[in-house]
Amino acid sequence: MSKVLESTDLQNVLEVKDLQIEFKVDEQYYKAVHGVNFHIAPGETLGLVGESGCGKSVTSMSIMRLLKDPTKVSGQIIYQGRDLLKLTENQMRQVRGNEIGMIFQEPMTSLNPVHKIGRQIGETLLLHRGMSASRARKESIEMLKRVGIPRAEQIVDEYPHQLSGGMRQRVMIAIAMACNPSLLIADEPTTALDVTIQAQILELMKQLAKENGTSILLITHDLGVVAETCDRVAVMYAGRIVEEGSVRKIFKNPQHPYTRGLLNSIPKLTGERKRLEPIEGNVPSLRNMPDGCRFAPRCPFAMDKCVAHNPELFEVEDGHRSRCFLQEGGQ
Amino acid sequence: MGAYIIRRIGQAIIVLIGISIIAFLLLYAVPADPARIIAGPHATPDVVNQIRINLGLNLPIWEQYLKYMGNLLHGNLGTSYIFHTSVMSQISSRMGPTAELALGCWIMELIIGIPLGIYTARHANKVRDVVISALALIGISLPVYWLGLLLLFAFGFKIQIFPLGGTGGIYYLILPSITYGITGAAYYMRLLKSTMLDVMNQDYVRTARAKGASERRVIYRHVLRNALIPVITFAGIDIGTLLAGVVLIEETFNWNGMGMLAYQAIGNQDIPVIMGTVLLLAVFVVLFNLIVDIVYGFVDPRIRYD
Repeated sequence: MSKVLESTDLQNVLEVKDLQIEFKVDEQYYKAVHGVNFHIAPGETLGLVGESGCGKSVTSMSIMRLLKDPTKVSGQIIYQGRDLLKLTENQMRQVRGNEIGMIFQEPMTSLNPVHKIGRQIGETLLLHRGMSASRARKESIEMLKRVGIPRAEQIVDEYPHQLSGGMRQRVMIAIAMACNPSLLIADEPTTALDVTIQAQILELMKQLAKENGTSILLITHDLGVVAETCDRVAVMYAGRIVEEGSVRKIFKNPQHPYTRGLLNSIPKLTGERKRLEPIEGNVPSLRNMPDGCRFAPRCPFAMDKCVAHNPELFEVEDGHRSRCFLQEGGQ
Repeated sequence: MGAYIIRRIGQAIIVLIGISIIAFLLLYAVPADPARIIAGPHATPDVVNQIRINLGLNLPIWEQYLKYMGNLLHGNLGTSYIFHTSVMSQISSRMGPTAELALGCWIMELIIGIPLGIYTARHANKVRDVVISALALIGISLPVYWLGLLLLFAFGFKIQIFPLGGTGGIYYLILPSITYGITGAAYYMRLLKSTMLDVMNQDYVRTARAKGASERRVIYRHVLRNALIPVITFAGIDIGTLLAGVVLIEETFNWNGMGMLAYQAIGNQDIPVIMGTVLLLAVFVVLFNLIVDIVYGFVDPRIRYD
């Protein structure tokens, strides 16, 4: 890495710059993620929000470099001052599970059915801490206790199918946090769980992250989860970030028509009861991306300009930006 | 577990009785007349009739069956029509060489098939995979007797490393085992490859990668064990049928096993011997299915019997 890194790179745990991800479909490459930029400060929780297919999960997978070939990833993913895209596979393995932990959406299928819980947690410690099997087992029991699993001494010798979904997600968190990573990527960690369990899992993640000073990148489609958990939020649409800012600002003063649409489509408990307003239309497919603003075909405020040109991210207020011509000139 | 095994043995007995009935009926449905075969073409009808009465072939079929099964309970499989020795002694004298050959062939299939399955799964769709898969297809398509003769010619006759057939220890076992291994391994390879490719797309494999596990570790620790169930099923049925004899291999390598016994018995219409070998095959298949089911429980903890 000969390039002199900017000072912000060092302050942030993660800095994603101009990330482009292309998938090969029928011998042709299509861009699923188009120039995404974001950063996460130490101890901060960033929510990456969007509908299915907007590129949020792909973005998280690209940080771990877990996307399968044939996929082209370019740009920079700077973690603690190192560009992850430039590391060798061996170097990258030292990062995975050690410096960056990851939790997935499907707790029911994310644990290996043929290995005991203890071994699955211990594997991370074995790989990165060089622990003996018996030390790793002890440490696994400790981790199970930390993630709030009762009877940890017994559960450590049980198999995933003996646990409920919520318990399995706790185990996944134990695996991801075993090596005290600086960054935790949680890809829809609560989507597959019951609502009552969801809150517990989010609370657990927040608590552990706070104890360890871990930053979190939370991928979700659920704005309720974002409101509860995140410090900042980046809203993604069709492979681009369309709005970003602090959770408070975005919820109070959403600027991009897509963000407003998302907020209008969640039911409110207080105030006058209104019909939910869905966003009309569908996310454009990879093969037919609009040239200008990608939201233009679904946008109630679309102008001629929106169809022809792609807007940049305009600053709305301090630390709040929106990719919409309506905000051009700081309106 | 114990209760499960007892229940399964109970089921196995019912299956075996069913098989014995079907085999019995089929043999008696064949138009050939065993009494006539034993007596020879020039015997008088009286002689043939006398033989029929002696063998109990004049009785109604259900009575013949019950008599057969009654004898079976006493470990008596009857007497060969042709050799006039007990079927049990014939089978037991062939069992040793057959078990040797079956095990040799089976192990060779596994030794060739499993590593190739892992290798082609790891390198799926690359040139290496395509080449090996093509070779495997050729392996499947080769007739064993042809490959066997070729190997005998090359390594028994031209370069004299191995004996030109016969029974007698590991030295005699190598060529027939390799022959069978080459033609049979492809099934294991393809089965393991396709299951592994399937497992590689599972979420828990992604989890293993996200932990920082090396590709090697991912394959051997996380993928392989999950991909073994269908292979174990196949291997169990395979060894079960192999133990009942490998006719073509035995014929090619002049190996005096169960396969040859059954083959000759069919040619001779020697019904007691045919029945004995069929029942033995059924016992092996049923037995190894049971063993396979028990092994499942060790490989996959989700399968537990109570």
